[in-house]
Amino acid sequence: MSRLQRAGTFGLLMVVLVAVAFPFYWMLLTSVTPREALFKPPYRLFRLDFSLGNYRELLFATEFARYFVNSLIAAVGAIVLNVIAATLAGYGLTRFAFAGKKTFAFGTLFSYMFPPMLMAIPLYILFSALQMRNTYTGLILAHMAISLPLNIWLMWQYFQIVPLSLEEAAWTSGASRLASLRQVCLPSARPGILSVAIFSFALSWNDFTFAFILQTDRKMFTLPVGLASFVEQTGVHWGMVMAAAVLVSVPTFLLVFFLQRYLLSGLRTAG
Amino acid sequence: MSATTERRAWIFGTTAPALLFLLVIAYLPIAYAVSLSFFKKTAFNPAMKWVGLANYQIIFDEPELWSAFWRSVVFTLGAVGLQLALGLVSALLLNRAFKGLNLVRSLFVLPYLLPSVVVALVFQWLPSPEYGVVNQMLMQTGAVARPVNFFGGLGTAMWAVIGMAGWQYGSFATLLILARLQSINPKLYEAAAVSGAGTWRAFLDVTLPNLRTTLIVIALLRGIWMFNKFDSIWLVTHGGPLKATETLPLYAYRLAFEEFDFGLAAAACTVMFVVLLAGAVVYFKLFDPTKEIEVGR
Amino acid sequence: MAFSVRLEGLDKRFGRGAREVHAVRDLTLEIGEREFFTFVGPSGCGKTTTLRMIAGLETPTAGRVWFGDTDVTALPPQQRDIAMVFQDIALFPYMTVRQNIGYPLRIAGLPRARVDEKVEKVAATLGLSDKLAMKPGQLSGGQQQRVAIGRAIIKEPKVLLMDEPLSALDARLRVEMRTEILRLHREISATIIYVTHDQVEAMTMSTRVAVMDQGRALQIDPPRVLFRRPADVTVATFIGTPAMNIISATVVTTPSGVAIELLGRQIPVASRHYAALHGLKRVDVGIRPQAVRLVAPGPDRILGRVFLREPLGLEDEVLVETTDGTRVKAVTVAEDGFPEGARVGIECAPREVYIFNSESKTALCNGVE
Repeated sequence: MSRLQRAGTFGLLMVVLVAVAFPFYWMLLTSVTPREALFKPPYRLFRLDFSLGNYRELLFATEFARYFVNSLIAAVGAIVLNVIAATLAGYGLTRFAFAGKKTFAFGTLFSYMFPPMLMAIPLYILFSALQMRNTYTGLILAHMAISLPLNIWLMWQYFQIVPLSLEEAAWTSGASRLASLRQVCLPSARPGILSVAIFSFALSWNDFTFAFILQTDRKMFTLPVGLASFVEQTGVHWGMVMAAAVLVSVPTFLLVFFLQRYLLSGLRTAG
Repeated sequence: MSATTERRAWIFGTTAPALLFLLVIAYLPIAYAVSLSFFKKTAFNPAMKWVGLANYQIIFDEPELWSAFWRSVVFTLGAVGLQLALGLVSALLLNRAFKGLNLVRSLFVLPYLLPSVVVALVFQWLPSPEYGVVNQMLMQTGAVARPVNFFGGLGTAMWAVIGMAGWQYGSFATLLILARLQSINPKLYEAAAVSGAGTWRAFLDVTLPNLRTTLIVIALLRGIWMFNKFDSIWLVTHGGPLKATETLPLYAYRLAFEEFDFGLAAAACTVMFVVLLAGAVVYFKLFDPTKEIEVGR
Repeated sequence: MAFSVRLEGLDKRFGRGAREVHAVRDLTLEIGEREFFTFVGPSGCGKTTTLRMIAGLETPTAGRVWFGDTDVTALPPQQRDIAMVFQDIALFPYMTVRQNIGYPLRIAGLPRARVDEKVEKVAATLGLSDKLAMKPGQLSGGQQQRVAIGRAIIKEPKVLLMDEPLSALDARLRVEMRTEILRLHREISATIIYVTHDQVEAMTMSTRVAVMDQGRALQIDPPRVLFRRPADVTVATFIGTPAMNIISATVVTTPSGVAIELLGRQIPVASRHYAALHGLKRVDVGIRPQAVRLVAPGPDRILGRVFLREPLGLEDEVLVETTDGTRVKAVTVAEDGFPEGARVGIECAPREVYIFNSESKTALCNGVE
C-alpha cells in the first residue's frame, strides 16, 4: 500500500475514532464543568477547572438516589427471574427430546423481535386493570418481556456445549439427575449464566419505554425516566444532566468489562 | 415414581416457567393489542365496544397513519443504511492487527451499551443551538453563519435522528462485521493476489461474498428494530417539529396517551405488528433457527 | 464380588419411520464373572449402544439385562452397581482431581475422612498422588483418563464399563494405558466390559471378544480363536493387520479329488472338507498376508509382479499383482530380493487357506489340510 494510501487510511480511522469517542468525551467534560462556565458559551474543548459540583447537586438536591434504587430493584429482579427461567429452560430443551421444540424455537426468536412499544400499550391497559402499574413487580415482568427470549436462546445454545457425558459420568457415579444438574451442569454453565445476568441487567437498566409508560408516579421512576424529566424540569442545567448521564451509564460498563474477563477465563478452564 | 413420569416431570418443570413468562408477558399483550384494535376503547370510558374494522378505517383514511408509516420507512432505511455503511467502512479500517485493537474494540461497544436516554440527551446537548459545541465549531470554522437547529428544523430533524441512530448502533455493527472479516481465511486473499486481483477486485470477490450473510442479518434485524423504535426519537423530538419525526411507534403513542383512544392506538400497533411479521417471515425463511437445535434424549 | 452380565434378546431402535436406525438386533450373550469382555467392530455396529444399555443410559426397545440373578433392565444407572469410563473422559472441569475421584463416594454419603483415605489409595495405584490438587485442565490426556479411571474404580464396582477410553489418546500413550488397564483388571475383582473399534486393543486385552457388525454379534470367542477360526469373512477381515486377502476361487474336481482353483493354480483340499464344499462352485478364499510367501517365479506357482513395497522396519508390506490383475498383500522380511517391479511367485501353506461361502460369507474351512 502506498504511503499516501496509508496516510489516508490512518486519517480516516482517526476521523472514525473521534466520531465515536467525542460524544463520550463531551459528556464527561460537561459533567465536571462548573455551573457558571456552562452559561458562558463558547466552550473550550479542554479545561482544567474540574468541579464535582454537578454531581453533588445531582445526588443531594434531586431525587436521583431514589431513581437509582428503583432501577436497581427492577434490574436485580429481572436478573433473578431471567436466570432461573432461562437456565431451567435451556437445560430442559437440550437434555430431553419432546415434541414442539421447533415451535418453541420459533416462538422464542419471534418474541425477541416484539418491539417494546407494541407491548407497552396492552401492558398499560392490563396492568391498570390489575392495579399493577407503578409497582416493582409490574416493571420487572415488563422487563422480562424484552430480555427473556434472548436469554432462553442463549442458555439453549450454551447447554448444547456442556457435554452430556459429564452428566452421565455423574449418574454412573451414583448421582441423581437433580444432583448432577446442581453439581455438574450448573458450574459448567456459569459463563452462560453470567451472560444472561449481564443482558438482563443491561436491558432492564437501560429501558425507557416500559418504565415511561408504566410508571407514572414520580416516586417509582427509574433512572432513564428520571433523567428525561430532568431536562424538562431544570431547563438547561446541562452540567447536572450530563453528570446524571455519566452515572447512569457507568454500571453497565463496569459490569460488562469486569465480567468479560471472567467470562473468557471461564470458557478456557472448561477445557 | 416411574421413569417416564419422572422424565415428564422434568420436561415440564424445566420448560414451564419460561413458557409461562413468554406467553403471559409477550404473547398475551400482543394478542390483546390485536384484538383491542377491533373495539372502541378510550381512557375515559372503562367499557369496550365492538366496532369491527372501524378503527382501521379511521386511521387508514387519515393521512397521518400513512405519513407516520412513510416516516418509519425513511427512518429505517436511513438508519440501517447508515449503520451498515459506517460499520463496513470502520470494520475495513480496523481490520489490521495493531496494538490498541482491543482497546478500540472496547470503545466501539460503548455506544451500544448506553441507555437510549443518555444517547438522546447527549445528542440534544451536542448540537444545541444556544450552547451546543457542534454549532460552536461550525460557526467558528465559518461553515454556517447562524446556529443550526438540528432537531428543531423541519428539514434537518429526520436526518439528525437518523444520524443519532447511526452513531448508537453503527459502532456495534462495526464489531460484528469486523469479527466476520477477521474470520475470512487470509489464504483466499493470497490466492486472489496470485491470480492478479488488485485491492478493489479482491474486495469484490473475496470480502463481500463472505460478508453477505452478516450484512443481511444485520440489515434484517436492525431493520425490524429501527422500524419499531420509540424511545430515542421521542426523547429528542417528541415527534416534532410539527410531526416531522413522528414515526409509527410515536404515532401509536400519541393516539394512546395524548388522544386517549386505545382502540385506534391498538390498530396502529397492529399495523406495526404486521410489518414485523413480514420481516420475521423473511428472516426465518433465510435463516432457519431450527438448524441450530439438537434433539436430546 | 463380581457377577455375570447376561443380555437377553437386547434390541434397540432409534428414530421413526423412514429414518429408523436398528442399532442393536436381538442380542443374546453372557459375560462371566471377572471376564475382560470386549465389544469390537466398525463405527455404527452397535457396540457403544449395547454398552450404554448395560449401563442404563439407554433403554432397550426390547430385551433384558441381567446382573447375576437380578433383572436390572428397568433400573437407572444410579442404582446399578456399575462404573463407567467415557470416551471423552468427562472429568468435572471445575473440581480438583481429588474431588473428581472422590465424587462417587461423596454422593454415597461417606464421611470426608474416609473419602480422602480412599482417594489417596486409588491415586497412589494410578500414579496420581502428586496431582490431587490440580484441575483437569492442567493435566495431560493420559493423566486425565487415569483420573477418570480412578473415579470409576473407587467405588469398587461389580461391573466396570469402558467406552473407547483410549481413542482420545495418541498412539504411544494408548500402548502404555493398555498395560495399565490390564494391570487394573488383575488387581480389582470386577467384570470389565470394554468397547473399542481398535482390534489390536481387543485382541491384546480381552478374555473374550464379541465382533459386532450392523447390530449383531458375528462371533464371540477368545482372541486366538477369532484369529485362527473366524466365523465369517467380516470377522476374518476385521481381525488381524493387515486385513486378510479375500480372493474369488472356484471349486474343481481333479483326478485326485477336490481342489480350489485360484489365480491360475490349483490347491488340493483334504477329504474331510469335501462335505463342506459339496455343491458349491464359487467360493471366497482367505489368506492372511503373514501367510503369503514370496518365492522365485516357477512353473507351478502363482505368478505375479511386485506392485508396491512399503517398508515397516524389519518387515515390509508387499502388494503383488498377479497375472490376472488380482492384488494380493503379503508381509515379508525386509530384504528378500524382490524389489518393486520384480517378477515373483506366491506360495502358502495349506493350513493357512481359509474358505468362505461366497454368498453367505460364513466360514467353511479353516485350512484345507
